[in-house]
Amino acid sequence: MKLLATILREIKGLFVEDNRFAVAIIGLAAVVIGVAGMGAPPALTGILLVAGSMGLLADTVLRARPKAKPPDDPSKA
Amino acid sequence: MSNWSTIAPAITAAFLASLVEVVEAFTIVLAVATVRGWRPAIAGAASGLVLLALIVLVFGPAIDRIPIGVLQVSIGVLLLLFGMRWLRKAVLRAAGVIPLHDEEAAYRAETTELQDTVRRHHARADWLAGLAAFKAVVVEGIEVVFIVIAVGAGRGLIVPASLGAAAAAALVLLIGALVHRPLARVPENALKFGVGVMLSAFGVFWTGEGLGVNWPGEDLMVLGLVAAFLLLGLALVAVVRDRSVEPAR
Repeated sequence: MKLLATILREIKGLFVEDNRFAVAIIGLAAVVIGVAGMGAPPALTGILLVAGSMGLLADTVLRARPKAKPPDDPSKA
Repeated sequence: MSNWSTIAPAITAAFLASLVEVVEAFTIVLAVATVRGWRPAIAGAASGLVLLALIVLVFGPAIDRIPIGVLQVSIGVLLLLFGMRWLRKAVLRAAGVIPLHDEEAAYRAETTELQDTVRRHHARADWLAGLAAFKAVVVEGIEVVFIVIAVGAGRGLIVPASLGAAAAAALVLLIGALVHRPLARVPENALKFGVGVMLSAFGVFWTGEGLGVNWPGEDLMVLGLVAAFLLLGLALVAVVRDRSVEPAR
């Protein structure tokens, strides 16, 4: 039972590390599937898919970067 | 009809991704062998391989019954989740935001934990050590099986992808048998970066194919997507690294 739980946890870990990122990818997929299902031109579906996935990757990485320290205020010295 | 523009990336992705997973499994099996000898290590690893083979034999044929469009979209979305997770982590590691994975440290941690387990349960030590090897092979092996299905099932490339994974396993076992040490010099982050790029590209490609997108250049678009994700990943590393070192200026 413990082994099964470990395997299931590992399988979930294959796809999900940052919950917000995973939900955003699934959301993008849902939107793209919806757009395609409504009969949008395939080119639009493709552009949405490429731009969306790249945008999500850039967003998650930039959110995770450390905040830059504000420069020291010389007036407080 | 598949051609080399899809077959070669599928083999490469399966090979590189499996290499990472097999190295991780090998580290644990080696730790078991160091603490309790090769017998429980090999018995545990072999039992794990048998279970994996059974899983593939039972569930493998079911894939053929899924309509190709549904299969491509499902696999595509799973690949996006899997590939972009790896790529995100590799970018953050390359930029120095999170520490690199250390195979030597993983080996030391596993060895210490096993020694502790052996001290506490001396009578069942071999059994528990074998179980650790079994668990490692099953867990990492399931990841390899998924990788093979993910990069291969969308267009009948299961066999080439399996060959890529098998080549990775053979290479790790060969090097491991020669050096008898954890394979700490494998550039894991560079591998994860490359695999993340390829799997993300495959994810976008298969999802689009399943939804009826007519990609420009057809199968060659996979290479275009690989280039786009690679450039984006490298640009993000540069941006995040710049920001990371800014306070020190």
